[in-house]
Amino acid sequence: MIKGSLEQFFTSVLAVFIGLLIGAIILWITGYNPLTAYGLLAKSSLGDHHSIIETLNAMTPIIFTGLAAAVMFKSALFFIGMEGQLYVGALFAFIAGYMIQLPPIIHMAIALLAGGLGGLLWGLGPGYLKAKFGVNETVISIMLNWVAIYLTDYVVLYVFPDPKATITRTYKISPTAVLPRISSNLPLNWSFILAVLTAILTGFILYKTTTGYEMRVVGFNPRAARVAKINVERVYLKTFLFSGFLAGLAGSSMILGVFNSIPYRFSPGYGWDGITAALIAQNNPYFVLISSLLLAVLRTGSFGMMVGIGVSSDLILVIQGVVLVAASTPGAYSLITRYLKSWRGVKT
Amino acid sequence: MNIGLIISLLSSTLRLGTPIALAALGELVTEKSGVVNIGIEGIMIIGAFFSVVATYITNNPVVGVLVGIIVGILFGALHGLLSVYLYAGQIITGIGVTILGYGLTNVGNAIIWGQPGFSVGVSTIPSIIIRVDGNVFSLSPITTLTLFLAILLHFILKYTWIGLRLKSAGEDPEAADVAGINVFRLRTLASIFGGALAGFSGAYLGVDWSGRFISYMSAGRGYIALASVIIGGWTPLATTLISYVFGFFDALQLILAQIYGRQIAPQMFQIIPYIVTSIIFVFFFRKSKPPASIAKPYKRE
Amino acid sequence: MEMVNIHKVYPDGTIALRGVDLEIYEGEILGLLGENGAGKTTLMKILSGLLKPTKGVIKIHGDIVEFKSPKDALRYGIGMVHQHFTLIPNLTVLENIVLGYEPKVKGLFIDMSKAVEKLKKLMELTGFKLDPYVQVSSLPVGFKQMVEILKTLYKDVKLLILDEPTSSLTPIEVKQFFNALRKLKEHGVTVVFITHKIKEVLEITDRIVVLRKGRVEGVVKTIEANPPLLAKMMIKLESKPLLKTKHAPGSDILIVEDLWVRGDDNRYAVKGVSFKVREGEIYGIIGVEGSGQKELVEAIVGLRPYERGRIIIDSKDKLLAYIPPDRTIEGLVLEMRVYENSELGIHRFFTSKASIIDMKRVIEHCKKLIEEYSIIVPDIKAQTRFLSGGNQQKLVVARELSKGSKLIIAVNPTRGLDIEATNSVRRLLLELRENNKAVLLVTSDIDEALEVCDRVGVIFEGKLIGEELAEALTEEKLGLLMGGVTIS
Repeated sequence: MIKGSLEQFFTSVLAVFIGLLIGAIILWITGYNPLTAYGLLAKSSLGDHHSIIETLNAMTPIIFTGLAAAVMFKSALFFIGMEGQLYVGALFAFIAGYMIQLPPIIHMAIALLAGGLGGLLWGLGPGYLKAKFGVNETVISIMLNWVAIYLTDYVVLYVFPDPKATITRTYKISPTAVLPRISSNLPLNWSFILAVLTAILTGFILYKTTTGYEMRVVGFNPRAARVAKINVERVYLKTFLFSGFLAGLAGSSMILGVFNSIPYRFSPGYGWDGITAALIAQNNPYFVLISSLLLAVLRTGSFGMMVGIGVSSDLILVIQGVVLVAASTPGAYSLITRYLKSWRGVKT
Repeated sequence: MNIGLIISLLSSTLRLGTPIALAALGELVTEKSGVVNIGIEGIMIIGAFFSVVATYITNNPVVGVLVGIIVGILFGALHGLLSVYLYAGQIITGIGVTILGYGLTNVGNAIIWGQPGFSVGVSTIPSIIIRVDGNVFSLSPITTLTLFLAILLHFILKYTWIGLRLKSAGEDPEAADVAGINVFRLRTLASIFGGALAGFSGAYLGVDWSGRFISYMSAGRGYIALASVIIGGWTPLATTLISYVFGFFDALQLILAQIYGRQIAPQMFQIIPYIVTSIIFVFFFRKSKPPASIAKPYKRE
Repeated sequence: MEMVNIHKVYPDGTIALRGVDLEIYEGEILGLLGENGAGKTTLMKILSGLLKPTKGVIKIHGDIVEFKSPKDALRYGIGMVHQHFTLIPNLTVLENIVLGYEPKVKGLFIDMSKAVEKLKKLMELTGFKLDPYVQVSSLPVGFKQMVEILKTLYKDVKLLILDEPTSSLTPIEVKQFFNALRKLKEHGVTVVFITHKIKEVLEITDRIVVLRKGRVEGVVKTIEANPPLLAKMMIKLESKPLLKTKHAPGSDILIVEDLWVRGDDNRYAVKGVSFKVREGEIYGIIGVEGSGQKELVEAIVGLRPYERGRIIIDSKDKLLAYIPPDRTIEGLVLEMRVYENSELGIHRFFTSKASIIDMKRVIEHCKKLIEEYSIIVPDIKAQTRFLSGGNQQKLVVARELSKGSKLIIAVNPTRGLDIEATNSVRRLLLELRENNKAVLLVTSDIDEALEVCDRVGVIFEGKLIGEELAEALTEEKLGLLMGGVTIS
C-alpha cells in the first residue's frame, strides 16, 4: 500500500478501537460487564437472520448520510446538517407519497426523488451563502437542524396526525409509493440496494469525473484550484446540492421503505452517524459501505443491549464521539511510529 | 404591552443570554489564541449534567457550579492538547466532543435516575430578587458575574501582556514562537479557559436556570455562542451584547408561546431563536475578520 | 563562542549539516557565505535555539551550553533576525518589538512608556527612524527590516545573527543598513551576517566563513579575500555560463497597456503599467518584493480583476502556461497523487463523454512529463508531498509547458532550488526562447534577470520606471533602478 493511505487506514482502525475501549471502560465503571454488553450488542445486531436484516435496514440511511458527509468533507466544507436534511427529505417524500396519486413504480421514483430534492433545497441556502459570501457553514447547519426537526414535529403533530395510530405519527402514504421488499420473505426493501449503488456511483463521480476531481482539488488546496481556473464557488455549490440530495435520500428511504409514515422524531441520529461513518471511511465513498455497516451494528446492537441489560442505547453516542475525537488526530500515528523508532534506536 | 410583561421579558433575556455569553467569552479567548473549539456545545451539556449530579449529592449548588467548571477544564484541556500537540482537525474533534457530550449525559442520566430524558429537581443558586411595582425581577448572580467578566476580559485583551501574547499566537504562531512565547502552552491554556467557561455555562443551565438536568438541554446554545463570537468580531463587549440579543429572542419566544400557545403550535415559536441567529449571522458575517491563523495547527520546522 | 562538530538531519531525512566547526570572536562582523542549501540558515537556527542539532555542541567561553528554545539563546545574548519577516502585521511597531518581553506594571499591564524610551535609545544607536505606533502592515519592506532588527536588539542582544538581511532592500537602504551595522559594532555588538552575495561580505565583514553542502569550505580574513577566491570556494565546480544565442524577436504576443490593479488593501498596487512581450524573447520584470509585481501577474493570468487599461494576449491558445511563485500553495495539491497533479488545470482535456476522466491518458501524459524533464518520482501514484522541492518544481514547469502555449509566465521559478535545479530551469527558459515562445519572467534576482532576459523592465511602487536591453544593464544600474533612482 502507498505510504499515505496506510497511515490513514491505521488512524481509522485505531480510532474505532479507542472508541470501543472507552465505551467498555464506561460500562465497567458503571457496573456492567463490558464483555457481556458487547456480546449482547453483537448478538442482537448480527446474531440471527432477523437481526441482520434489521442492521441492514439501519445501514441504509447511514450509507446515504455517510456519503453526504463524505462529499462535503472532500470539498473541505464543514456543513453538518445531515440530520436536518434527513428530516426535510422525509417530509418531502411523505408529501409526494401521500398527496399525489400515481402508478406504482413511477410513484416510488417520484417520492424518492422528492426526498432528495428536499435535502437539496435545505442545503441550497447555506450553499449559496458559502459560495457567494463565504458565510461559515457549520454554525448555520446546526441552526437549520433544529429548525428542520421542529418543522417536522409540527407537521407530524398538527398537520397530518393520524388519530387512529398507536404511536404518534402521520397518516400512511399511498401503497403505490411504498418501496417493495427485495424478496417476499425478506423484510429488506429495495432502498438498501439503491444505497449501495449510490455509494459506488458517488465513488465513481469523486474519483473518475472532472466534477469529482475539481471537488478534491478545491478541498485540499482552494488557491491552487483557482490558479488552475477551477471555479471554486461553483464547486462549493455543486457539493452542497449533491450532498443535500444524498442526505435527503436517507429520509425518503426511511419513509418509503420502512415506516410508510412519519413517526414523531423517527431518526435516532442517523445524520450524525453518517458524519462518523464518513470520517472513519476517510471520506472515501467505497469505504463508507464498510463504516456504515459498523455504525448500523452499533445502532441495532445498542437497542438489544438496552433491552437485555438496561444500558442506555446512547452509549453508542459516547463510542462515536470518542471515535471522532480519536480519528481527528492523525498526528497520533506519527507520534506512535516515532516512539517505536526511538525505542528501536535505544536498543541498537 | 404592560410593565409586567416588559420586566419579565427583560429578566428572561438576562437569564437566557447568560449561558450563551459565558460560553462565547470562553470561546473568544480560545479562538484568539488560534484554536477553534466547536465542541463547546458538548462541554456545556456535560457541565450541566455533572453540576446537577454534584448538587444532587451535596445539595449545594455552588459545589455543582465548581464541578461543572472542573469538568469543563478537563474537556477543554483534552481539546487543547489534541489540537496543539497532535495537530488535530479541530472541527472534527469538536463534533466528536458534542456527540460524546450528548451520549455521556444521556447514559449517565439513565444510570443515576433510572429514567430517560430528565433528572429529579435539585436546589439552585439563589437569585437576586428586585421588586418593581409589585412585579418580580429576578437576576442570577451568575449573570452579574458574566457581565463583570466581559468587562474584565475587555481590559485584559486590550491592555495586558496576556492579551498581546494571545493575539500574537492567533495571528502568527511562528512569529510568536520566535519571540520566545510558548505558543503550544498558551494555546492549551486558552483552550482550558474556554472549556472552563463552557462548563460554567452548562452548570448555569443545570443548577441555576432549570434546577434539573434535561436531555439535550444545551439545545444548540454552544453553536449560538460560536455565532456570537464571530458576529461580535472577537471582542468581549460586542460578543456579550450579541449573546444577550440572542437571549432576548429566546425569551421572546417563550413569552409569545405563553400568550399565543393556544392558537399557534409551540414549534412555530421554538424555531424563532434559530432562525434569528441564522439571519443575524448571515448579515454580519462578512464584516468580521477572524484571527489570521485560526484553526491552523502550528508545527515547528 | 564556539560551535563544535554540528550535524543536523531533518525529520524528512534531509542532511543539512555534516559536522561544522565554527568560532565567533567577540566584537567582529562575521560573514557566513554559501549557496542556497549550503546549511547557513540551519547552522544559525541551531545557534539561536530554534533548532536542535542532531549531534554536536555549542560552547560559550569554553562552557558547553544547551538551548531548548530561542529564549535560552537570548539569555546568553544571542538573537537572530530571520530572512522572512516574523512580524505580525496587525500589531503596531511597538507591540511587535515588546512581544514576549513586555515591561510590566503591576504584573499585568504593559509599561508602554518604558518600552518607548528603550526603543528611542535603540533608534538613536542604529540611526533607524520609525513611528512606534503605526501598524506594521502599513510599512514598506525596508522599514519592516528595521523593525525586525530593533526587535532583536530590544532583547539586549550581544550576538546579532542576520539571515540574508539585504535581500529585500534597495541599494540605498543597504548603505544605510551597513552604517547601522558599523555603529552596532562600535558599541560592542558581535554580528553574524548570512548571505550568498560576495560583494556584500567583502564590504562589511571582518572575517568570512564559507559553507558548502553542510561543511565548512574555508575561513578567510576579509582583507585577504577576493571575489574569484570566494566564488570558487562557494561553488567549487565552475558552473557553465548559460549560452544565449543572438535571436531576433518576432511579433507582439502579450500587450499590457496602462494597467491599473488594486491590491488586497484596496489601494492601487499597479499604477499604469505598459509593456509588450514578443515571440522569441524573454522579458523580465524585476523589482523589490511588494512593488506590485504580484498583482500585475495575477491580473494577467486572470486571478485578479483590473480596473483600467488593457491586457491583450495575441495567440490562439486557450491556456496560459503559468509557473506560480509558490509551487506548494498555487501550483500543486500536495495531498494528491503525482499523476493527478500532472493534469491540474488541463484536466478538462482528458475527459471523454459525460466528463469522465480518461485515467490511461492521464498516466501516459504524466509518464511522458517525468521522462522528458527527468523528474525523480518514487511512484506516480504516490502523494506529491513525497517529492523533493526541486522535483516538485520540475513537475509544475513540465505540466505548464505541456500546455504548449505561446506565452509563458514564470514568477521566481528558481527560488529555493539548488544550483543544479536552478540552472536546469534557466536553461529551459532559454530553450523556450529558441523555440520562438514569448516568456514573461518576473523575478527579484538580479543575476537571473541579467543572465536570462533579453529586455528588463524595472517595477517600483507599482510603476515601470525603466525598460532596458539586458546587455545595456549592469548590476549597479539595475540595483539603483530597483530602489527607484532613475538614471537620466
